[in-house]
Amino acid sequence: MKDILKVMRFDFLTAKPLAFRGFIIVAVICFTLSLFFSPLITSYITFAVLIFIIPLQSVADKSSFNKLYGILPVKRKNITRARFLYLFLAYFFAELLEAVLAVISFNLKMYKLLPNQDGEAVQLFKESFEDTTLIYVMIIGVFAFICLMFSYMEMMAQIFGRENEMKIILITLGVLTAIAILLSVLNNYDMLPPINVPKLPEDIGGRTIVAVIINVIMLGICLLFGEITASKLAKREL
Amino acid sequence: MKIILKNKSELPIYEQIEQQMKAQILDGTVTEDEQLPSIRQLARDLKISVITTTRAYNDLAEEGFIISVAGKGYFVAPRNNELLRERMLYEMEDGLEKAVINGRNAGLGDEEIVAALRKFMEG
Amino acid sequence: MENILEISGLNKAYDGFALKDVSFSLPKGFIMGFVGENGSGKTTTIRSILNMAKIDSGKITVFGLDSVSDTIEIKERLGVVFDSLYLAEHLNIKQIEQQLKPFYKDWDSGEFFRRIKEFDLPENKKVGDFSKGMKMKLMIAIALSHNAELIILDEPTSGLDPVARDELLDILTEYIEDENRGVLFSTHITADVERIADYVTILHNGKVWYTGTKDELSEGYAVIKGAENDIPPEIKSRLIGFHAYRNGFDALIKTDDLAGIPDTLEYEKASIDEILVYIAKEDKNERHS
Repeated sequence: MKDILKVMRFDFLTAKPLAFRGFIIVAVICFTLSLFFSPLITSYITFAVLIFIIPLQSVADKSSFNKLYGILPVKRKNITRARFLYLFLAYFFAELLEAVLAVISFNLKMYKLLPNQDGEAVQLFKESFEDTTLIYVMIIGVFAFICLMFSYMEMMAQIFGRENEMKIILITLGVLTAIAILLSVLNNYDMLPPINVPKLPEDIGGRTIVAVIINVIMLGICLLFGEITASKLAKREL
Repeated sequence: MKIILKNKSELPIYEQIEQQMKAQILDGTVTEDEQLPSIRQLARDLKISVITTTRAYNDLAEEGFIISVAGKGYFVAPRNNELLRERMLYEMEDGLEKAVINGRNAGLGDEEIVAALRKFMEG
Repeated sequence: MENILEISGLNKAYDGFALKDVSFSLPKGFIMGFVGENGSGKTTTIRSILNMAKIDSGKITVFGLDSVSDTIEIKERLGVVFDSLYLAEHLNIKQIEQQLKPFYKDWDSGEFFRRIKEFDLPENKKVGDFSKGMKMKLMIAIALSHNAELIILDEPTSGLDPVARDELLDILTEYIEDENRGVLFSTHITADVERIADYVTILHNGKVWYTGTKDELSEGYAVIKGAENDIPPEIKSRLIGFHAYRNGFDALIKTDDLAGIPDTLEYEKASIDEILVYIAKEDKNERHS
């Protein structure tokens, strides 16, 4: 575990000088906009966190990190595992930050400072400050989607190579589309068993539990993808 | 102790070290009982391999110019050693003998050989 | 004498290239030059030592530890200098130090920055903008700062100017002043090795052509020249890399074989460079016959 932490710290320090300023700028803009227009805007911070992740691979390729991995006193598998845990933590951090900022923005209700309070636009903004469920679903939903998608992409790219990334994206999208079409066709002909979408709990305690469960599932998926990738890569030479 | 190595010299590096150390020991530049740099220090200073300096020191010790004190390093051997002078004399005679033989082989007369020697000594 | 590095019966095959039964050892306290033409297998051997390449058979021990099962412990105590920098190019020296520090138990920040000063490296410049010589010195500073007992250099001098190469020799002879250390120095610029190496291993076509002290190598071989007709037949077969031209021939010969050669043939001590050249010529001769 210690090794994984060291490698995560290493990855973070690699990305930090490239990403930190950009991230802060985006986060501040998102937060400022959210104050006036909608707490939902905070959920875009998840995308800003990507700049802590995306440069890592190009830096590693350009700087021949495979040589570094060959001389560091760390197990190869832990280097791979660390990357996936790092991915998870980056999104998890964004999610927490968004939740905090959304709560602040929600409570300040600064749309009231906008001119022309009776105008159509302001009425729209106002609505978005009333629906807490939507904010909750948005933040957790974006987190779960991005986390799942990018940890999957990371796994495929590490196993099959970055140069095949575009192909991987297209194939993945193709498969997803096919499934979606299949489901909608089945649905049209009433061939799908009825699904009972569980209702979101109304109270904060219940919602917190759901959020924790979703986060734990995402962590599990990231670790699983990491483990699969690590075992594949361990068989290769550096 | 001053040692200057010539890369382009015909002599191997260990022999260059030996010769220069001998010369400085005999002319008193380094005095008796003076401590010499360790094998590894010398290798570092001259930027040469450890095996080369080891060989030079071993040869010098064998010939009695320096002595090795266990745990302390190498020292210049006591000067009163008649042996050193004898050895130098022997080497001189040896060299002269070779010179004479070579000179005669080349068809020089004795006078010419002596003249060549004198010229050599005058530098 | 205790060996700091020992390779025995190393085999490793790739498509179109193989290390065949490579064995050599480096005693503690010495510098070994690891030479051979490009593609002779030096880098593959080094990658095997580092467990970056998976060996087919054989055994490698470093500090008496197994290169596969004890690789983590070995790397704690090992410094490596590659021909190119293995660090993130957009970072400066301070940031690099921050990154690497936690990986080594023995990391000494004070020592690191002392070395950086000694080597005149700018602390706030991106390492990607360093010259080749500066990059090499940075990798050495890293090795020295975690108190590495063995330094492996893989072609560190290719593309370096003479001043930087000379500085490297300085650093290595200083490093080896501590007799508990060792250096494996791979290069095809043999002049670097000629002076400071105690041992030499010559690799050729994936096989060890020579391994032993440098003195035995340079005393063991001579370059012989003269008229082809003067070569006694029993000696001709022992010449290495025989090369005839209009007015004569030249070849490499073992000094043991020099006894009984006629005065009309001239010979002189062979440099490592010359030895490498004649080994390659011998190959060519064999292919043609």
